[in-house]
Amino acid sequence: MRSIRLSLLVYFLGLLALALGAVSFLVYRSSKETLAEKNVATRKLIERQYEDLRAKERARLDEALLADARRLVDHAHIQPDPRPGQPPFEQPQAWRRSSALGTATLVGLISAGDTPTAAWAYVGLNQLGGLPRFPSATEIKLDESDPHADDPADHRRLVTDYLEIQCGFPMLVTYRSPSLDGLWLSGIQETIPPKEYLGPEYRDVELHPGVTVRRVLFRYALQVAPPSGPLPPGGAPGDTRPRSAGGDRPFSRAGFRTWCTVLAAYGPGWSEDAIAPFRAQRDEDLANLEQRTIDSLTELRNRLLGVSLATFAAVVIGGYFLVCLGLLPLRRLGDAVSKVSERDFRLQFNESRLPSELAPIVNHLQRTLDELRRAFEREKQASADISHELRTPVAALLTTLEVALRKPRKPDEYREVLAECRESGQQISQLVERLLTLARIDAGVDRLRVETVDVSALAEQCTALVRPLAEARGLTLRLHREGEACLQGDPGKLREVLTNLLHNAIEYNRPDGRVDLTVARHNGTLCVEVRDTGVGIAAEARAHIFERFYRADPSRHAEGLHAGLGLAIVKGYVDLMGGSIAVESAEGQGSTFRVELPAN
Amino acid sequence: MRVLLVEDHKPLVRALRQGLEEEGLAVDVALDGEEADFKARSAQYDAIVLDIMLPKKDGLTLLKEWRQEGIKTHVLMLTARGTLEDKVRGLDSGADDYLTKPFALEELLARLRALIRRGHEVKDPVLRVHDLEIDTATRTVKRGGQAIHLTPREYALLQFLAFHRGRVVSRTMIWEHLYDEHDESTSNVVDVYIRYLRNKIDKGFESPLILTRWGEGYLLRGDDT
Repeated sequence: MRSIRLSLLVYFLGLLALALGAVSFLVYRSSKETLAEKNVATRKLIERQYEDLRAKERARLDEALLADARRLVDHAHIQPDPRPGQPPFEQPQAWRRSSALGTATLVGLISAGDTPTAAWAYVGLNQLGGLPRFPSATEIKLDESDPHADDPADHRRLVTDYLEIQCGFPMLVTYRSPSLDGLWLSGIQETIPPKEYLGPEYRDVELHPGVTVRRVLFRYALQVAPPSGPLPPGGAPGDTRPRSAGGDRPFSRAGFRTWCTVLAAYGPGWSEDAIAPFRAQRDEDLANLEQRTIDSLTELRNRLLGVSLATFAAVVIGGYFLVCLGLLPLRRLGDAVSKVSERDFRLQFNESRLPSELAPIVNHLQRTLDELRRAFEREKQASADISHELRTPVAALLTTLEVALRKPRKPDEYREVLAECRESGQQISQLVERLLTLARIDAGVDRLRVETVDVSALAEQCTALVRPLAEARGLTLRLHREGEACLQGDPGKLREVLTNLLHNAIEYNRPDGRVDLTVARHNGTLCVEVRDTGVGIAAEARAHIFERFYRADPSRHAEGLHAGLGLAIVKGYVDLMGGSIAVESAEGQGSTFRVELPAN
Repeated sequence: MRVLLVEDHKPLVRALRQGLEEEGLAVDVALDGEEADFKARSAQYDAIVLDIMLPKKDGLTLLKEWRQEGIKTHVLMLTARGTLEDKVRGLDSGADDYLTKPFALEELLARLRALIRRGHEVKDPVLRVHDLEIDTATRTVKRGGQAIHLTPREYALLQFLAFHRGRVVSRTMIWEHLYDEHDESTSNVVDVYIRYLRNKIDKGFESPLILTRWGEGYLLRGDDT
């Protein structure tokens, strides 16, 4: 047996679980999406920060590269081509200095390995035109001693592995660091533009597959002055070479301009170390971000689960009470119904607290119970009546026999007793017949034997039958009819109806009264009226007159057999024949029973 | 002993009346409630047999009215209503006994005898007066161990005297209790029956049991007289 309470609760909780699940899922998903969007933004930010830092670092490195290159160039000297017969061109300090000022040729740079060495490069200047002869340049040399050697943080950056210096005066001389052997910092196809000023230009150059370096290219404009002019004093720092004698030999005043191109590069992995911390930071940030996301989602999930469970638990308890509260009227109704018994048909229910949903049920139940009670009472009354009606003649029969048998009697006495017994037996038989008739009507097994019946003739027969009884009571019995009145009906039942009505009219009449039987026809309806001049029937009795065992006179009539079944049978038969019966009566003036039958 | 039979079914009345009369009871009959009411108020009955469903006034109403007005006559309800509810209602209305139809005549008679005894405050069905024994159940009489045959009327007279032993009962009282309403005789007939009874009870015994109180009536000697 299913419990409403349980079913409601289960459905309710199922619904709640679905709702909670859906809400949790949506909240979780939207939070996850929001978090993912935030993550993407944060990731972008981190990447951008990293890129910025990287770019800054690269810029810094580029500047450092340029600074390195310049510094190395400051250390470069051009090796003059010593000519026989001429004093060797002595590298004047001023040259180097002027090279730093951009007024003299020179160039150079470089470091090799971790131990920077300064190299000297001497530019041999050929004498051109009217200019004093310069020694021709033979090679560029780097002073490998680094003035900043004692500053380890500085010199480590010096570009010594990838350096190339080209000087175009008076002939092209080039210095290339040994590790560049066979490689070109400028790129194979790259042509260095002509003699124009070229600012520092940075580029990643692939030396050979897999090896990319960061290169800086810049060009010096060199104003080569004749060596004859007074030269500024001083020498290159770190210049450990002994100065040649006759260093004061003058150059031509005309001088000339030339260019010196410097290409310098940091080797592969030039920026890796510098950028590594940023990358590590970025990776860590990203990892943190990922972890935070996971943590947030886990926390959200847990929280949602917790909230859902708490809500569920609260609703389980609350729902149980709510359902109980909602079912309370039903339970009260159930209690009230369970108190209904054959002894008490009342529904003990406080109607003022009746919920509107239950009102129709309760009202219907009450009506049904009332009807049941009435039916039950009728049934009880009927069975009591039947008992009484049957038991009394049976008791009379038995008592008569017992009394007779108590002692020997004379034949006359026996005859008398037997006659009395027969009378009682007849009464019992009649009563049983009537009860059986009613039972057959109730069960619907009483079938009509339809044939054409002349009701006028039938009425005459019935009148003749009861006339002796009427006359015995001093009554006037009259039949009023208008020729034939035929209909399709059951003559036996019609006779029963008429006889019953006539008997009643005689039985309940006043002395010297009248009984009128009228048979008439109105528009396809056959109307039979039995009118008497008796005591009449009270209005409240008229409603019940066709009920079984009902007697308008509550006291029992001492004469004849009147169990209150006659009119019930009459009504049963008239209904069976598709007709209707009605009674009109005025108390003290008599009653009229009117039977209408369809006369098709 | 005089009994009022209230019943509306005439064949039953006829049979019952005969049965009761043959038992030595004086029987008055009422066929409806009003008649029963009138008779119950106007005569002293030893018991009333009362049906419930009666014309004009039903038995239960009658009984309630009688009890309210102090009529103490023992009433046996004799009715076709046999349910427990009916019996309870009948007894609660003041009935002393209840019997449903159909019934065995013997049972009705036995119950009536019991009711009559109770009406005279006697429990023992055998009445003993000195050496006289009256068995009210078998309606036999012995004196000194010797059986005495009595006619129903003689028996009824002796039983009435025995119920009132030691007390004087008047002729009228005896007459009223032994003769029904249709009896044309007068109370003088009582003297005749007393003589018959003396002939059977006292004749041949030393001490007479039936004594005459001149001007008052008769008495059966009690144990202390």
